[in-house]
Amino acid sequence: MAKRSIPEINAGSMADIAFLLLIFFLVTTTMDKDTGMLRQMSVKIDVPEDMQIDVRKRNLMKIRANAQNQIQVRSELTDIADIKEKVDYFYKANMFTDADGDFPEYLTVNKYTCDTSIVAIEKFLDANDDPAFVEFKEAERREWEKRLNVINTLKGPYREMHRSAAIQIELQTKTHYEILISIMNEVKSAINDIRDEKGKEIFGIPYRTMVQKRDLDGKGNLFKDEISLLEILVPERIVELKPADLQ
Amino acid sequence: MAKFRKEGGKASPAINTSALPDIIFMLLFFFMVATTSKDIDPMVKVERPKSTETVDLTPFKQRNEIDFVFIGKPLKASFGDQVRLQLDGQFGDPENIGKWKKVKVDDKGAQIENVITCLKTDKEVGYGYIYKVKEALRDVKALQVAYGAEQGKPKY
Repeated sequence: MAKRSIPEINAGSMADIAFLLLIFFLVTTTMDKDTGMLRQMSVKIDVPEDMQIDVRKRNLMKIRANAQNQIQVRSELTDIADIKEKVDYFYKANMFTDADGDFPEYLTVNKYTCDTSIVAIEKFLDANDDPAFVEFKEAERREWEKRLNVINTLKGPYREMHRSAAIQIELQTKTHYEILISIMNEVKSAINDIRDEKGKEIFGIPYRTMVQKRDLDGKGNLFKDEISLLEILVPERIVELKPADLQ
Repeated sequence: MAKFRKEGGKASPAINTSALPDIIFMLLFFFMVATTSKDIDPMVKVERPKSTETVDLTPFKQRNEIDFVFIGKPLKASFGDQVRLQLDGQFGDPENIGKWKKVKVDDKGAQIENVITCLKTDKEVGYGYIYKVKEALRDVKALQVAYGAEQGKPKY
């Protein structure tokens, strides 16, 4: 009898199994990367009259857009492309010296101001325990502690934009989402560019690179302190106002 | 003629196909690595605006610190042509998003202040609607919001 050779294992079904798995993945996943612009909203509290911070015109930059996609910056008709330059000037006008009285004030923060502010907050917290205020003041205290960290890292006092300085974005009910994103994009781009500059100056690495590396790091701890410092030196103060024509 | 003999009955494959599964596995690994799981199919039309200052939300998805909602006009005409808010698989009202968010956060076992809500909004939705959604979230202390946008240069 001729020796019967052992039949090979039919490998055809392996391909079928692989195809099945592939189709499963094709159907249940997407290559679309979910991306977005992060925004932090503020806590809603009713601050009594005597605790409200006085906001002067110089510290605000109002950007308004209507439903016809027309944009005004501080009541002047502007092109979207020019917003970035204006925001850049808004931040830099008085950053090094008190040069322009129409733009935000910069105040020197040194160890003495931090210490006295923290002491004042602690005295306030000892006297009041209304939970709304406690939260608000605790957040303020954390801010002052972060400022102390900045002073320690920079080994000296630094100039910070006035606490009430902000860029206000006011839209109408029918203004398209696209316009909000375009405006926010320009403002954030200007702020992040300044942060990149400062990052290179102080740490030798641009801010955006640090953020990328931190996001790739699983725990989010890489460059945490450096990023925190830059976010205090160049604070992102964007406030979205309620549309005037909203019911 | 005798030299040409028919081969025996067994069908021995002329081409060795054992490498085919390997190719398929390679494709499979590519998809496993390059994709993220799709959550819900949007029931509303969402065309995202472009922005250069976006942040990749995938790490937040992986740490389960983010929820997505869709805002836009329904794809099916039977649902009307007004802008609607889609919460998971159903339509909802901006006033109800607070309750929905609390439930989602409880399921995750996290703090509501730490869970981001990503608003995947169509580029033509009016800001008034979005503002209402944000205020409803603010009322329940879900303060972290992400405006969904595609990475790219915005058209002016």
